[in-house]
Amino acid sequence: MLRRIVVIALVFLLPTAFYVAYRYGTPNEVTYAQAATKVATAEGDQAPKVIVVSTVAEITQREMYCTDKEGERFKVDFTGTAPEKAFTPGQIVRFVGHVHSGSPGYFHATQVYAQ
Amino acid sequence: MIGQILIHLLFGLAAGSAVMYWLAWFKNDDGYARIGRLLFTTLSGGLILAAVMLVINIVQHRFDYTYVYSYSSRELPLHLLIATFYSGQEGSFLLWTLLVSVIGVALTPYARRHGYETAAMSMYALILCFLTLLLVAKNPFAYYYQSFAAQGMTALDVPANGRGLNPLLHNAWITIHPPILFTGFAAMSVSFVFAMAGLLKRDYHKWINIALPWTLFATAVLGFGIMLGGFWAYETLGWGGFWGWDPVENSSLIPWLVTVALVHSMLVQRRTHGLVKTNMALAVGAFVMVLYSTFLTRSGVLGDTSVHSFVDPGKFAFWILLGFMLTFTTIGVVMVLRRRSDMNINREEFTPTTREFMLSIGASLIMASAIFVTVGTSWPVIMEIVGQPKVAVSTDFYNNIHRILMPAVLIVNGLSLLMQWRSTLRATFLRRVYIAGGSTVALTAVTALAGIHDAKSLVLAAAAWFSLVVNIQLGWQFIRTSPAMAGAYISHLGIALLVFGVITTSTYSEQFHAVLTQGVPTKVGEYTLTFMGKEQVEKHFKDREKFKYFVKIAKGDQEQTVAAVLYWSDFNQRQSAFLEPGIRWGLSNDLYLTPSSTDEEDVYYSRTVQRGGSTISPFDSSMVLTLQRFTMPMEEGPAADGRMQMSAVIQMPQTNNSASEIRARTLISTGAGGPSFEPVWTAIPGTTTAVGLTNITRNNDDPTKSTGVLAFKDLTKPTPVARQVFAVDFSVKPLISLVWIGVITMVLGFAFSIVRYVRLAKQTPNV
Repeated sequence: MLRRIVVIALVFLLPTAFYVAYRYGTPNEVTYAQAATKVATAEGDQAPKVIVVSTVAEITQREMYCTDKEGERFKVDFTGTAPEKAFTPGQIVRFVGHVHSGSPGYFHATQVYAQ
Repeated sequence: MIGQILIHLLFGLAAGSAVMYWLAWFKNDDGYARIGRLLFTTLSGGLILAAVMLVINIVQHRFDYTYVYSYSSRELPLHLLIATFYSGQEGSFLLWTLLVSVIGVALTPYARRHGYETAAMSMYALILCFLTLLLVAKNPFAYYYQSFAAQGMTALDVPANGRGLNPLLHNAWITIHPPILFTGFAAMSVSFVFAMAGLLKRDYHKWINIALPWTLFATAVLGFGIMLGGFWAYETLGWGGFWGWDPVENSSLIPWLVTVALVHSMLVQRRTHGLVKTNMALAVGAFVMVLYSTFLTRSGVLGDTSVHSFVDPGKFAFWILLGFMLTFTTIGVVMVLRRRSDMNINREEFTPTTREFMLSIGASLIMASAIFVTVGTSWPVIMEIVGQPKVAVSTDFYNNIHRILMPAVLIVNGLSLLMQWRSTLRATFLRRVYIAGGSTVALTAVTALAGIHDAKSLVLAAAAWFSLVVNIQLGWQFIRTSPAMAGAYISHLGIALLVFGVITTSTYSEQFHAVLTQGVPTKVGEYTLTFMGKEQVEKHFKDREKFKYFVKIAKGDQEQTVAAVLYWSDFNQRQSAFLEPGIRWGLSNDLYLTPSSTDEEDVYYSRTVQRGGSTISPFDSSMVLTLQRFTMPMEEGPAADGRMQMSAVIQMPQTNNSASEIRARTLISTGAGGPSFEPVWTAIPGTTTAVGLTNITRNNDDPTKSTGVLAFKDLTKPTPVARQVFAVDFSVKPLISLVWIGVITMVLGFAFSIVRYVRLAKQTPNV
């Protein structure tokens, strides 16, 4: 009986674990304004990571500005591994990261994926 | 150079010891075992020597060594200097290896006494082979000029000072927490090697008795180490809580959970000779989880998904870590599978009304927790493998899962103790259940009346009460008759207390944000907070100006002052602040004050104006001022005290359609924290108003968008003194003391059990 219980539990457990992890571990695709509502707390916790589909608007020597799908312009600080192709204005990418509050705030992206 | 040679030599000794012990096992020749033992002892001596050499290098500030340069500095006090020993990957691998070898020295005679030496130590020495190979890859004795050869460094280039220790780690806990945690990790190897030895010797029961005290030791030490980390995060790092489900925290928790399950299933086998294969699998699983967790947190695969920082160890170390994990997983799995039919002897079914059945269910629930935490912790890696964004699961994943699992574990714990081994007398069981169940209902009702109304919290509280009542009920009998037998009950009591602490703090903590002006009492919830002032501390550190901010917390006629710390450091280029909370400790609640930011009170009327833009005077709405341009420091020349000067050139329309020009000036100081501005007041002609410049924000891409902050003051009134403003997050954490009391009680229970099972192991017949 015990053996049966454990085997049945195990059969259900692993898919359940993956399913629940998928539900809690998939970042939401949001606009910059929505991302800004989930800024880091003062306790040192990171804000939950989100995806902002962004169009690279302007790249200077030190800074990069993008627009989100609603056309809002925001600064992006990308600290992830350099992408295979350099960012170019007009390029549409998916940035993963979170907003740092401040005046003005900026989007701290740690990963980038092609659209 | 001696250090580097020594590390390579240590690997040779570990390999030699493993080979000799394996030969001793296969050839059943004690001569090889003697050589293996000698090599093992020499290896331990060599590791102690390496550790002493590293400590000497650190204390003598030998910055010609990359490791010493990277983690220590001349300003560090002795206790922190010694802690830099294990602050980097190289040193922490050395500490882990050293502790494994020291435990091995104690283990050798113990294993010999029980006839397990060659089988167990052959596997143990193999573990040390991998650990010493890791040291070869991450050698703490690498020279600075070797590490930075690509930058053109030569042996003559020796840094005058080191980079220093991360300011976050500057406290006493770093001297205690990592060594305890690594002792726990090191001790986790023992149950694995005894299980493997049992498989080699086809002795599937005796190893349980031999390994049980060591397994209890590993569980107690690792559990204590984990919660010390939680206490450190709470007390010093200002993370607000004691547990954040961070990958580094989880990486210690997973092997601990597996080993807790192992302890319980070992007890079942000890009494019934059942769960033979389960125990073998769990012993393998616990050790493999140590290796897997090490791989996750040391290989760099988790990247930036944690509040802890991860360093990429390099390809060689990455592959060794991966090989280490895969080798022992393969050995464990192959050994268990090869002996699986052999282990079917004495197989018996447990009836549901027995303690062994309930303990098995309890172990399964704990394993379910371990599996969920493993999947959650591995999630960023899994996502990366399938080409999705590498993101950690939110803490809700763990919290929601454990809201189901934890009550189940506590109830099963209570039920298992109410039942008896082999068979349970129905009448006895029912009588005990009625007493415990009745008490649980009454106590849960009291809990609800005390203010806990949330259904999930009440279910968890009811389960914790049930476990608590049963453990007190039964444990009390043993404390009076045979205290050594009370260990399990005391440990379970500790867990129940810990759960109560978690319920009260997670559900009923109150948090407020407050901006405190120096000397001004501010009402925050039921408390009155007064920021009293600040004091610079640790002035000998040149990379920071560290201040303690004193805040008086008063409620009624009770008041107490706490000191929170907030500072910026060159260590992280002052990108983010370092902070330490101020805590008023209490049995019923902690008052927890986390600094947020600090500034000076704005005593002037300020207006932010873009270049070319206009603003009006705060004292005369008809007075319009237009910011024409900013002057450059070269145009102004230096001030009398040598500081840079800049001005905002302001135009004011006159009544005769002309315009007069005045300059609002500022003196600029440049410091490590960035520029600071001091306004120089210029009277506006024909008024009693003066204007100054208190900030400039340059826009390098488009200078016409640069802005300045103009400050105005009334010259007829005395200039107010700017007071310090201190923004804080203030929280009240009810009964958090139960968390710490619970952990101490749990460890105490383990200590009782270790004593008991050491005595019983001595009674195990020797071969």
